Amino acid sequence: MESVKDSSSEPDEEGSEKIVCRCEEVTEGEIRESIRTYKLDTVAEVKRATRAGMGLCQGRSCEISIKRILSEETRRDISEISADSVRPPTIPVETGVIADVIRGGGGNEED
Amino acid sequence: MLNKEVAVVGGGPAGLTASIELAKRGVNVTLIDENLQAGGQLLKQTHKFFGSEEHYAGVRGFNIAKKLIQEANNQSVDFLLEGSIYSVYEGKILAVKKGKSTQLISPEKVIYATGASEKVINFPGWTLPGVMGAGAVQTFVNQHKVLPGRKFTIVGSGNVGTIVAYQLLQAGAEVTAIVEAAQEVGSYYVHANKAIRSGDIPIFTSHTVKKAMGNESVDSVKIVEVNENWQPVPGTEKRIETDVVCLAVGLRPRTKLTSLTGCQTTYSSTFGGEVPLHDKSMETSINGVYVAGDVAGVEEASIAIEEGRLAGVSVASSMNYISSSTAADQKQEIRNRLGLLRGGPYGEEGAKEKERIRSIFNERVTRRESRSVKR
Amino acid sequence: MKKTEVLIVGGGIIGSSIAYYLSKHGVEVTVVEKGKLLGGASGANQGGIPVSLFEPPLLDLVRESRKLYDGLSQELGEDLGFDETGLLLIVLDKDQESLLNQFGKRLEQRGLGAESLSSNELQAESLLADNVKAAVKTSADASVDPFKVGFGLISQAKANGATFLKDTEVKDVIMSGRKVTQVKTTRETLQLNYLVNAAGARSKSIGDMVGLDIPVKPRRGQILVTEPTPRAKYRYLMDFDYIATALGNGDKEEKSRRMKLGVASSLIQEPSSNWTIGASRDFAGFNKKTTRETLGYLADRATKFLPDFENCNIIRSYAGLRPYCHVDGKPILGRIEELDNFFIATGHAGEGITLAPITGKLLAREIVSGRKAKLLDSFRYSRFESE
Repeated sequence: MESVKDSSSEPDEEGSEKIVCRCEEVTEGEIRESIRTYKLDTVAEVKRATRAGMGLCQGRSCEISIKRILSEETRRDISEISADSVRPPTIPVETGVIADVIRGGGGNEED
Repeated sequence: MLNKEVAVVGGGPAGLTASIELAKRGVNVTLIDENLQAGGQLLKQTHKFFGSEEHYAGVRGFNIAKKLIQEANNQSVDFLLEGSIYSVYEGKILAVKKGKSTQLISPEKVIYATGASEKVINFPGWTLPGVMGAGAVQTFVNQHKVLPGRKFTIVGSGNVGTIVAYQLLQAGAEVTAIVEAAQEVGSYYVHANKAIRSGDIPIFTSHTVKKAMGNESVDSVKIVEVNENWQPVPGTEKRIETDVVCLAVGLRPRTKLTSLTGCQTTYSSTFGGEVPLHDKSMETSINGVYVAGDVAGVEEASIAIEEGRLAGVSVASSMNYISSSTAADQKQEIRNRLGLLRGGPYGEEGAKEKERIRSIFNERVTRRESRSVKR
Repeated sequence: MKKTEVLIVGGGIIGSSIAYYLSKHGVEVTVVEKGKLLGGASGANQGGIPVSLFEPPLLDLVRESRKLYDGLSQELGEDLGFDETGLLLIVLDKDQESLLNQFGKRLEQRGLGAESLSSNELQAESLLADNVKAAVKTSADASVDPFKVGFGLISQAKANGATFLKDTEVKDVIMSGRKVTQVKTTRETLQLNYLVNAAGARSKSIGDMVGLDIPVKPRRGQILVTEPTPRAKYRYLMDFDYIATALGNGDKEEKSRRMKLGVASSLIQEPSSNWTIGASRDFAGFNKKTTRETLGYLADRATKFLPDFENCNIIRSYAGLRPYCHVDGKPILGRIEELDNFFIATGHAGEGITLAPITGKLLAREIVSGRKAKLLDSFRYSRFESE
């Protein structure tokens, strides 16, 4: 272990190299900027404006970080920032599996 | 479409005990779990549990899972394994992915025991290979008996962080640091003591990760001291060589399915995030939909075991499989045990938080009259 | 009391576009939005601009809008994900083959590029299912990233001085003779000189406040999104049935459950390389949920054209409520005769993204000049009164 005194070489206060959403590669800096530009105050708006949380994992890991950033930027407690609405599927699932509902497999046929 | 009496979602400790209590009382119950085998997080736990006999004191976690699965089988619980629920349609129809097909299940009552998922913290480099959750490390080490690296830095000194540290040492790995942002170690004394005593792990309290470094994967991590406002103190950076940065920074309830079902939630920092509102019998704001275990607030496995039982008894009673007076007695016994579990210095906060959630429930949720006329 | 020159009700793509073009003319404008900006149908669509599907006179409007898109990225200083991909119209049913070919010929007559794929070309296209019987490639069609368009318009409008108030619902309007003078919102009362109703699926309720019966109701459209896949040669595919479901008047007695749910494939590969799988049409009031059966038919139909989708993951679904004119399915645009200062821009149904630029431009022009734009004449509110 060694001590390193190079904090001056890391001007990352705004999070320009700190990725929040790894699926869509959105940084904390980009999220903060769009919150300020468009006066965003919900997770859903941040998604639409930056694509953060729109990737394969659908915000499973980054939603909490987005909430934290929103709470810092809008100076509200994190409990006041509501989660994005949930739509199916809640996990990635093959198109064929969703189609199976109407294909009559597994006793799923409709009248 | 399969019509079922009760579906229990999630085969961890809460889901297993809920299913057992239901099946014991003659209810036809299907336990759905996405994995090859039920047991949930218990399967990863190689340490012995403590507490009382009802909570399997002295038994290792994976053996508790074995016992519960055995009992569920004895009671003829219907297991639907490798079944992933990907949607809840019309508030009640479970869409289960099974292989390449969908099985629709329409139960009269549902108990969600979906557990928790790990939180992550973001720092530059956290997306590098080598940064992983404590759950993943436990899966490697305890289930598959493979070390995912040689040198480990653990972020977070709660129960999970310190237990993982101890397990890593047992597996022959080097733990180069435990990094904790708070001023004190967060875990139960027993775990902290084990981890600190048996190895020689440097613990950095009031520190956080500033950056993970490495070209293709992590080779070192830079940590920094934080002040009482959680702000980094310039000039206090330290670099630590490490292959794996293990994040043990907390869990949050897995609420996607309950939210899709329409259950109202409240935010609870004590319980890890959004929690579905529930009453004393574990029923949510939606009639006939129950929760148990970590999804109802992240606590201990032993609490999940009891909450599962409570939900199971409640559902059996609501379907008139047992009389309401018998149910009241049985529920009271379970609540007493829950009271004891939450009695310790660490549990008290949980008891208070449950009370708070119940009072919000009572404020916001008015039950429809038809509640127990179902059968 | 705050005063604004033009008050636009609705912070969707239409309201934002009108705000942008007005602000470009130097007009002071305030947009009030009940929910979040772009939170309605503007954020729940596929971003398609299917020029080839339209008949005159709507086609004239669509073509003008399409032209505006050519320069819009540059104008807004934002990459809008504009993809001049054209459209691949496809049929599975042998019976539809001749209809498709007729359709292609009509496009050519109108000066819209269209060519049939030969059976060799069809076979060479490995993504397409073997049982795709015929395909016509058109050239006028394109797609955009609807969020980029929306946020691009909003940020430029703001840069030009426009004000956007979200979480602000209009509760009532105050009239003075034939003029609307004030709007009461959940936050404040605003004084205004001109009012624009761009409230999308909810524009009827704004009309009711001034005694106009706007024949618009919400029509739900559901969409699936896949994980990203490799960039395809054809990135905008359309089921020939779409023409019946999207633009037909519903007078045909539909036998199949799929057609009753209005499901016909519209498949677009986004700039992010995810595919969006549309489209469906049903009426469920203001219910924005996605439903089991419709998602099933959407998924099933898509795999019939692109069999590789079978094992491709769906990562989310969403639904939008499109403002649908239940009299003739056409937009309702321009100044209202009955009142002195009331404008309408609604009824865009599934074509809000397609028509946003031209709607913004022409509405702004009518407001600023006081003269009627000829292109809007077929789409005025007055068409309902002659009936």
